[in-house]
Amino acid sequence: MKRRDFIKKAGLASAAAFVAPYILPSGRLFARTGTRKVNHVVFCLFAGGIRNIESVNQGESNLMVNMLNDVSGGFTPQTGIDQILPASPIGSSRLQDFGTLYKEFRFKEGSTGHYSGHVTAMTGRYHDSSLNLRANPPYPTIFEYYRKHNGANITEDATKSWWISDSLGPYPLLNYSTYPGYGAEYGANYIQATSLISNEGYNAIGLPKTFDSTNDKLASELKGFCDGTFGNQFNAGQSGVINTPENKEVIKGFIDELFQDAISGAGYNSWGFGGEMNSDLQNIYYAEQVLKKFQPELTVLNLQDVDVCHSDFTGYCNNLRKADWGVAHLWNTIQSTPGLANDTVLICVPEHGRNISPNTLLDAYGRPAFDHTNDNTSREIFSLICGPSGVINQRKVVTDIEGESIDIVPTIANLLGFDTDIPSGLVQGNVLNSAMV
Amino acid sequence: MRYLYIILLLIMSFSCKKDKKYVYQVQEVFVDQPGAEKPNVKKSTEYISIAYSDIFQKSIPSELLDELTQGYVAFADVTIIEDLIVRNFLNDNDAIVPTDSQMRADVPTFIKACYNQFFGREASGQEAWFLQKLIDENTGLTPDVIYYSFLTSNEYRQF
Repeated sequence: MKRRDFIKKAGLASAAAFVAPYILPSGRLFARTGTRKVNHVVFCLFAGGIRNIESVNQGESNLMVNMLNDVSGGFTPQTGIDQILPASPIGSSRLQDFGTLYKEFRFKEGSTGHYSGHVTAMTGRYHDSSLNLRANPPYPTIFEYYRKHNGANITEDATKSWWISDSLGPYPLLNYSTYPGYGAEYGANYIQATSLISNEGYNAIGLPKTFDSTNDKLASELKGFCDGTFGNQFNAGQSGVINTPENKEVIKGFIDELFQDAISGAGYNSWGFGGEMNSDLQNIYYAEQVLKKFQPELTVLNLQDVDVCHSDFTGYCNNLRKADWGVAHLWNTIQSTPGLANDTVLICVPEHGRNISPNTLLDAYGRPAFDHTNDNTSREIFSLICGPSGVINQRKVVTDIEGESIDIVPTIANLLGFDTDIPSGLVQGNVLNSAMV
Repeated sequence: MRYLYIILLLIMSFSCKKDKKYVYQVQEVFVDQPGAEKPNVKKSTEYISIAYSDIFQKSIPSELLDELTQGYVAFADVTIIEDLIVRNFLNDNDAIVPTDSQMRADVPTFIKACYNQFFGREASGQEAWFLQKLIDENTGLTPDVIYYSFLTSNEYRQF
């Protein structure tokens, strides 16, 4: 072997030896540093502004009989707060029995606004009043950390993370940030299902022309030719989140399934709420469909119907009861879905609370209404973390002031094994180790 | 003596010759790559409005634009929604798309019209050849499939 050939081949061998350990059997390019505790996390922003007085302290009796054990007696009907909900979907067990309840969680800093609370919980950082409601968050979201720091497979497959919001407004912006090195390339698949699966949505995208397989292939060939000769290429950010061609077809099929479901009478009609169905329950229903279809590793959904409390305290209590029922239904769905059962942690946290003092409005039953304007009570929230008994402490109640909104992101990252891969300084919170076995 | 002057004159005329200076330069050639002059991405409302106009030959009603925009923001992958919107447009009975026989009666004119209408430019020789060949070799290829391909291409999304 000539000297030059030897040097060349030795160099290639060294390079291969250097690279090879990182190409793992799973297809991951770079290994996570940490170990996974579970393979799926569902984060439910139990949002809209909920006071601990009505939730964990049960000041209006137990309005959350599916999630929380009774403090003193169960639910006591009152005038206007007397709707009979469907039978408890989890039978005799409350969600609290499957995990750890932090009764004195805090949203310590920043404006007690809905978007601010959402951004804090989803980025692991408090934000000041400069937060722009018309722009993506300035710091990376949990989705970006997840997709960037879990290897090539997850970076390429956007269907492994979903953000399912109850409404539009600024919430679609929460699936990725403007932070350098992160962004749309690592964003979640976002869906606001009640807008998409609607009459308007059906008119817009519900009746697509389909081609036979030959013409589908020819269309791809021609489109590929056009794109190949075009100098500028679309990239993530310009077109939102990018899915692989295969996943695009699966998603289109999924959207069609949701339309067909709605046309034939949405599945949630069987839940027994009739005209009392609200957008929180609908959002939970669609989150369940996403979970069953894609079995994502990271799912975030939110609920906000309790925010009627600005003018309707009775409606707030009723919607809190519905949210409680819905979350229990979600837990049941997780536990009855192969692949998710016993391998999923569910985290529920309000984004903030509400004021101790009422505003000047009274509802139809004469009950005073409450806003959320940064007083101490509006910073008091709870957190419930449920999961497999080998991962999450069961039937544990933390009564001291412990845990903050900013701790959710590092906790999710820890559960999925990439918390130590997040660059230092980006996330302000800590892992909620007291919930872990 | 006279001869001497003539000889000297002849010698002087051949003795020093000024060197020619050759200057080598690169001739500027403008390569007209499609897309080089289309650096901007259409906003969602622009994309929908223009696609509607191209398919229906009229302006999009404002109520329909609102509905379509809502669908746009309700899902993260814009390309999926755009694909479904375009397919929905093409499925509409009012869509103005040439028939297969019209296309095949004069393929070069059809190709020219497609590039003019959707990309706002002429087809290059290669592009015209490729599409002509695709149409000729695939008798089942219909104009709506070609329209769909143009409308969902990257070049159509930019200006």
